[in-house]
Amino acid sequence: MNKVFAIALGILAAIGGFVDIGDIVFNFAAGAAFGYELLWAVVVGVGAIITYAEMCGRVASVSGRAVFDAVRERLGFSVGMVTLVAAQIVNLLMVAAEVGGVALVLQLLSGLPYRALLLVAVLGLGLVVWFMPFGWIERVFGYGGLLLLVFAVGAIKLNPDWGEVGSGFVPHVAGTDTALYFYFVVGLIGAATVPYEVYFFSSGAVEERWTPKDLGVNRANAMIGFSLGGFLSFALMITAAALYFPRGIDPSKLGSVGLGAEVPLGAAALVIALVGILFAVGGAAIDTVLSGAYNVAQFFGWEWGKYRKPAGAPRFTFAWLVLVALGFLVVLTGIDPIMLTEYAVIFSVVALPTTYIPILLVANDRAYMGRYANGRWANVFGLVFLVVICAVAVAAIPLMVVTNMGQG
Amino acid sequence: MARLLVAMLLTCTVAACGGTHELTRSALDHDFEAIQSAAAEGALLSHDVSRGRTTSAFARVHGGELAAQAEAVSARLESAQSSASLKDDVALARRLATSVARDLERLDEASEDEAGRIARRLEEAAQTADRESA
Repeated sequence: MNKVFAIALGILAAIGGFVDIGDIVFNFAAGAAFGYELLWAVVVGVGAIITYAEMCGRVASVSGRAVFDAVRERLGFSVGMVTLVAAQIVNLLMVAAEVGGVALVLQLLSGLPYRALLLVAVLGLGLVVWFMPFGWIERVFGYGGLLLLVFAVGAIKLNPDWGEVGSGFVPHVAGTDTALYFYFVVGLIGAATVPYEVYFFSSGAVEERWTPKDLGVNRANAMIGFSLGGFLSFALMITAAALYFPRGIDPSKLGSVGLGAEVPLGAAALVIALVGILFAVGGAAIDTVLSGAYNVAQFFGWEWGKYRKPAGAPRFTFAWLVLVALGFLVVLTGIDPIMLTEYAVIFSVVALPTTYIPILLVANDRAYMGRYANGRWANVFGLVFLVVICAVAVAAIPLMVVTNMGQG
Repeated sequence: MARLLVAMLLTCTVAACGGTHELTRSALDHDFEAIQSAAAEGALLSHDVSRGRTTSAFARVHGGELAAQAEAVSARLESAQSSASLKDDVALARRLATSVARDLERLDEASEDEAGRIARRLEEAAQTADRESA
C-alpha cells in the first residue's frame, strides 16, 4: 500500500511539474495554428522526458545524490559550470513567466488589477516554499493540477473529427508555412523537456530518500506521471484545434485557454479550468524555484533540501529567495508573461544538450552506477531522443527569427 | 565630404527614430487576420455572456484584452503610410478594428440581449476581415 501511495505521489508531482505555462501556451497555440497535425510532437517530447527523468531518478536512487551533484562530481567543474549557467538563465526566465502566469490567472478569476496580483503571486510562492513540506507541495499542486482534466471533457464535448485526431499522431509536415510548423515542433518538444523538470525530479528523489529498491517506483513515476501530463497536453491541443482552428483564432492570451473550457462546458468549467491552470502554473513555479536552488547548492556543495528547515540549509534557502525576487523584478518590468514564456521555452531548447548529454554520460558511468547503469534500451531511447534534442537545439533560434516568434 | 557625412548621419537618425513606414499588402493582410481573430474570439465570448455561461470578471478582463488587441491594430494602421491602391482597404481595416474594440469594451456592462447583438456584429466583422485578408 505504501508503494502504491508513493507511486501516486510521484505521478501527481510529474503532472504538476510537467504542465506548466509553456506547455499550456504552446499546445494551445499549436492546435489553433495547425489543428491536430502536431499531436505527434507532444508524443516525442513526452518520450524524451520519460527517458531522461527515469535516468535522473535512477542516478539519485543509486548514488543518493541528485543528478546535478553527480554531473559536477563525475564530469568536472567546467562541464558543471556550463550546465549550471545555462540552466539558471532558463530557470530565471521560467520563474518570471510562471509568476506572471499565476497573476494572470488570478486576474481572470477575480478581475483585480494585474500588478497588485503579481505581488500576491510572489508572496504566495514564497510562503508556500518556506512553510509547506515537500510532500504536501506535491499533493496540493498535483491534485490541483488534475483539474485540467476538464479540458479532456471539453475536447470530447466539442466533437472533433477523431479520424483527423488519429492522423495527427503520425509524424508528417503539414500546412503551407513549413517554418512556422517546425517552430511549433521545436516549441512543443522544448516545452515538454525544459531542464528544471529533470533536475527537480532527481532532487525530489533525494528528498523522498529513494534507494535502489525504489527503482520500480521511479520508473512508474516517470512513465505514468509524464504520460498523464502528455494526455493533458493532448486535451489542450485538441480543444484549440476543434474550437479555434476552424475560426482562424490566434490565442495569444491566457484567457483564450480559459475560453476553450467555457465554450463547450459553461461557467463552472471555466472556473475549474482557471483553478487547474493556477495549480499547474503555481506548482511549476515552485518546481522551477526549487530546481534553481537545488542546482546552485548541489554545484557548490552546500546543504540543501526542503526536508531540512530553512535554518538547516541557509544558503539553499537564500538561493531560492533570490530566484523568486529576481523573477519578480523581471515580470515587474511589464513584459508580457506569455511572450516571456515563448522566449524561455525557445532559449531552454538551445540549452537542452548541456542538460541531457551530461545526464546520459553519468547514467552510463558504471564506476558510479554499478549494475544500475543504463541498459541497452535506456541507451537506445536516450541516444534517439538526444539526436532529436540536438536537432531542435540547432533549429530553435533560426526558426524563432524566420517566423518572428511564431507570428508568421 | 562633410555634407555627405551629415546627410548620412541625418538619414541614420531618422531611421533610428522609427519614422512612418510604408504599409505593404502583406502587412495589411496580417492586420486583417488579427482583426478577424479578435472579432471571432470576441464573438464566442459575447455568445457566452448572452447566455449567462461565463463570469463577469472573466468577461471584463478577457474582453478587455481582446479589445486592446483590436485597438492596437487600429493605432498601428493610423500611423502607417500606404500607397493609393491600399488606402480604401486601410480605411476599412481601421473602421473594423475600431468597431471591434468598441463592441468588446461594451461587453462588460452589456445586458444579455445586448451581448447577443454584440456577438452578431463581431461575427460579421470577423467574416468581413476574413474576406479582405484572403
